[in-house]
Amino acid sequence: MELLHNLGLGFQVALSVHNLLYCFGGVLLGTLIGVLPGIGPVATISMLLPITFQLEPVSALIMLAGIYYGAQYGGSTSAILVNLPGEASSVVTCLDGYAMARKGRAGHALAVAAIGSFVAGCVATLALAAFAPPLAELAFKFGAAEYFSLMVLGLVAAVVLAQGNLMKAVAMIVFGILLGLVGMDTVTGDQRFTFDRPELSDGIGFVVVAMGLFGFAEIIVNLERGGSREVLSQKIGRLLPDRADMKRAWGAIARGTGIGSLLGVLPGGGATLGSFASYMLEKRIAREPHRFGQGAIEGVAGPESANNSGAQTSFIPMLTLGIPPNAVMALMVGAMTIHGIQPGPQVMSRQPELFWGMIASMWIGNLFLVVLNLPLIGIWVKLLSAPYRLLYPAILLFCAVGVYSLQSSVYDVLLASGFGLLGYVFIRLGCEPAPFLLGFVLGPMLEDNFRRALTISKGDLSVFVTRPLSATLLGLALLLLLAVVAPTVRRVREQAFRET
Amino acid sequence: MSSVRAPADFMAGLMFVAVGTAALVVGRGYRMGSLLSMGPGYFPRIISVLLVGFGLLVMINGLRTQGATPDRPLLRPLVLVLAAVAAFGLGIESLGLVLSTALLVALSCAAQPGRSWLEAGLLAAGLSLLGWAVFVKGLGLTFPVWPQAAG
Repeated sequence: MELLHNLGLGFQVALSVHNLLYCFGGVLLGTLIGVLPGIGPVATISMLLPITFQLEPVSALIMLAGIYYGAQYGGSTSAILVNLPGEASSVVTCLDGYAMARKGRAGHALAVAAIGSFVAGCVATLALAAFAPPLAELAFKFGAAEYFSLMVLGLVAAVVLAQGNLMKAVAMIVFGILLGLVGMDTVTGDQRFTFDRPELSDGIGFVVVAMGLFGFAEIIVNLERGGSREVLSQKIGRLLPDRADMKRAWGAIARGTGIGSLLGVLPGGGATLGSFASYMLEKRIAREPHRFGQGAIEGVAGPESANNSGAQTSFIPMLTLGIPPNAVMALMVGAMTIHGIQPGPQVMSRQPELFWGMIASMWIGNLFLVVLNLPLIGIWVKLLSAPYRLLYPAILLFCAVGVYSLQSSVYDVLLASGFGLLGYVFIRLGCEPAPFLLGFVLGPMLEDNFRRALTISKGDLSVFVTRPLSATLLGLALLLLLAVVAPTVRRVREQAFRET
Repeated sequence: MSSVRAPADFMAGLMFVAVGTAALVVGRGYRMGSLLSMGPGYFPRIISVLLVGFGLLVMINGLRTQGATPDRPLLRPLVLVLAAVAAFGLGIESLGLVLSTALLVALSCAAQPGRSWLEAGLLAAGLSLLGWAVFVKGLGLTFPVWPQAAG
């Protein structure tokens, strides 16, 4: 069994005291920011990127990954107890989780969320271990044309699955790609869009953009809304649900895990989409759909399982193809590049300890999270009452130091402040920053593969459709686009996002 | 502008068109090259044209369908939060960590009306200490803690 051998290697790496500590640190921090609304994994990971520069690559990635799936656990706590989604992926958990809490069953809701997340986490870890190697195998057959087509498919899918106005999401991606082109042209060495600033010749730093768009802009918007929130002093009640409840929950957990794992792999997917889809499914197949919104335990169990498994399986395209399916994975690509690792199929063969160590750490991290979230729930509840007015200056400080320390560049800090303004404009105009960030990351890769494919084909554009793999990928992208434009699918999609 | 039914969409489209046009103007001198060997200008030009195109579509969409009007921005948090970050960046190399932190905390606290200055002072002191412990002692990042003499 090669899988077992590989996992064995992974556990060897992940179980070293050193890496256990970073794993624990990651999930602890993830839970913390998951519980606190107004600061998400994207901002936190970009804040920590410069710091992880000092660590070994595998420890750094273990910690950063822990933040992402840890946030999925934490997000449910604030959704259930205060009806505030700590993360976008916990929005639907509010509906029934908070209803359960109002009926004095907060403990049950929290427990089922944690149990569901744990089960989902274990399954997703196995899925990752089982499916990543064959995908990486396939990826070795990819040439420049295939990579280009794959990225196009990824970007199209990201748009289709994104919330809100399609056309705007497409434009945001294109805007992001354009911004990604700033700096020196890698082929000819010409400066593009640098306005003769030497600081821009290497391009704009990813952290600078992410921090501005996700960190600063969100703080500004939170402050506009008053920046305060009410914390209900809820009694949590008994933790373990009774047998009838668990019987209902198991089905939802299993289905949520499946949907989440599947949708997590898709570009634009990640944790959020799975939780929405799972909630809709549970409501649709339930015998008494009217219970939903009134505290149905399936409405907590399904989505919370789905967001956790989705968070983990979204690593698959990043690790095997080097293509990030969402903003968090784009940051992970950034983290790997900082450490001189080029994400892609070769990671698995050249650095098996890194690859399998990270996967094994996810299972361990899930175990930590159950302990962190069930017996220690009281601490997180207390934290929910930490006043935002003390929190946001601290977040700002850590962001600013983080941006500065990346290259000891004052210019970067000022630029990040500027991106804060841009992010604010985006939010005000209802433009999603996530597709923008995805375009920004993929932009240079797109151009590079486009150029190389055409150089190899001697300038023949048909290379993208005559190579079978590339043609299939582009065909899929086209199908997806057509499907969205078709009126029926459009209605379902709109309904799907409205129902929440 | 009464015919604009979705002002947020319309303005977003306008932004895309403006950025795309600006990119075309700034990049007008970049060599195009050919499909076989693309110059630095080839891909940016495709992308800029796409951005203008999609921007126009978003604008038209904003004229035709009903949609949201963006809220009036509140200047106080916007300006002060961004200024807090910028001030920290400008100060860190000459004023050092402690004073830059104080500056950042002061400006960012001012972003919320009715803050207590005592609390802001305590927060600044606490965060300076934390920042020093984490970044300078813990991670060994090199930046001055106290103001530097000229230069």
